[in-house]
Order: sequence, then structure tokens, then C-alpha cells
Amino acid sequence: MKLKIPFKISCKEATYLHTLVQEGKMTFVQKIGFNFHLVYCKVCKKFVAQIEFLQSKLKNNEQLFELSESKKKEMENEILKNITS
Amino acid sequence: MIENPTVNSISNPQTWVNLYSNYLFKFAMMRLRNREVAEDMVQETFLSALKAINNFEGKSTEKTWLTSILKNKILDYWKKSSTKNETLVNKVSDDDSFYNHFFEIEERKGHWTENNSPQMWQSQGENKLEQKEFYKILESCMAKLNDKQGAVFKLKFIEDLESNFICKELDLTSSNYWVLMHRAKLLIRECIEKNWFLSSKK
Repeated sequence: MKLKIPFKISCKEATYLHTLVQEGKMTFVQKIGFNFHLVYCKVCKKFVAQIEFLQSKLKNNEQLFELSESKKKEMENEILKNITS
Repeated sequence: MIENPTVNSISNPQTWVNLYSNYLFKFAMMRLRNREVAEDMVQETFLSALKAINNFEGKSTEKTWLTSILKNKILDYWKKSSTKNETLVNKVSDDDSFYNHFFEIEERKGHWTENNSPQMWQSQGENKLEQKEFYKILESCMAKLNDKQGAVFKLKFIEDLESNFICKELDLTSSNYWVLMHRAKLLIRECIEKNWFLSSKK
């Protein structure tokens, strides 16, 4: 996504640039465009806050993707079967 | 075979599930969309390890060894799925049909569409049960992303890995990465809003 006028970027561009900004990979021009957009666009401000909220909930989260006890039992049985055979 | 004294740092395979299954399953789920596929892959990892147990040289820890077996299985799976149906995703262009759902195309070009712009999120109770439900919905939202979007999103948002590292592992250019992340963020945000924050089930 190429930016033509740095001070006037759309919501589509701003939400794209958010990732570059977060990771410190934006150019100076992109940074100005992004920050300026957030000054007057409440919706994108909301978008950014919500993404950051999700990020804080997800980072190093231990509650996600748990293996069920029944599946573990199944795996144990399968291993046992293959040891004894 | 299990008591082979020359294999020093291998523990009894009957303890593997207890020791490593949680870790390996999470590792797989960071990179795969489908729970069943991830479960099968962990299972296969244990069985492959069992077959190769005599080749274990003890150069790495048992955990690292098992993880590398799993990693290879995931890579194979990626290769297969990329030849089948992921070619469209690899070609992560600036394809408009995706964005039209979120952003206007004619007047007010590039602005949020009225129906799909971010809404206000009510603050959440810290109730344990609610938390659990929230994460369940988040998991199901992440499962809706396609393979690469999902992997990029999870490796960044959960594992907090460097984007360079993620690109290398998933064989992406950095501009592919930005586009995948942009799309993943738009989709996840909308999904969690519809299914949690604005849902009457809560």
C-alpha cells in the first residue's frame, strides 16, 4: 500500500499501518500520517484500542488451546499399544 | 527397548503424554487452524519418536527432539495444503473483494462501512467463568482465519515472536506479513465483537 499524501490517509490505510507502527517498521512519513489520522478519526482510535486490548489478553496466555484429558488418555493408550506390539 | 542403557536421556515413553503433550499441542495450535489436525499430529509425533527412539543421540533434550519431529510434520502439512488450496492465500495481493466488507469503495473511499465499523465494547467482568467463555470464543474466532492468517496472528499475539522470525518460519515476505496481519486483525476484531461484546448470550 503506497501512500501519496502523508497527511491524508484513509481508515483502510491506517488500520494497515497499525501493524507497521506497532513493530516499529514504519517510515517517518507513515508515522506522521498514522498519528494524524488517529487525531481526528474516533473509529480507528477505537480499532487500535480494541486490538491492543486483545493483544494484552492473548499474550503468553496459558488458558488457550488445552488438550482434553480424554485425548491424552487416548494418546497414552496408543503409545502403550505401540510399545507392546 | 525402553530400558536400553545406551540411550541416556530418554525417559519412559509412557510418561511422554504427561510431560510433553500440553506443550506440543500448544506448539501445533500456534501454527495450525484445526484442533483435530493438531491432536493427530501430536499423536503421530509420539509414535514417530517411538520408532526412532534408537536414533536419539542425546545431543538435544527430549523435549527439543520431540518438538523438531512435530515441526517437520507441520512443515509437511503446510507444503501439502499450499499446493492444494492455499495458493490463493500465498498470493496475498491488495485484493479488493476482501476489503469491501470493511471499507467504502466509492464515496468516502477507504472509510469504514457503516455496518461493519468498530462498535463500543462494554467493559468485562473479571468473573472466572466469563473469562473462560471469552477465551473459548477467541479460540473459535482464530479458527476461522485461514491457515497463514491464523499462524501469523497467533505467533505474534500469543507467542509475541519477532515478525522477522515469523516470516522466516512461514516463508513469507514482509509485505505478505503486513497484509496477512491486517486482514487477521480486521477479522478477529469483528468476530469477537459480534460473538462476545454484542452477543445476547453473555
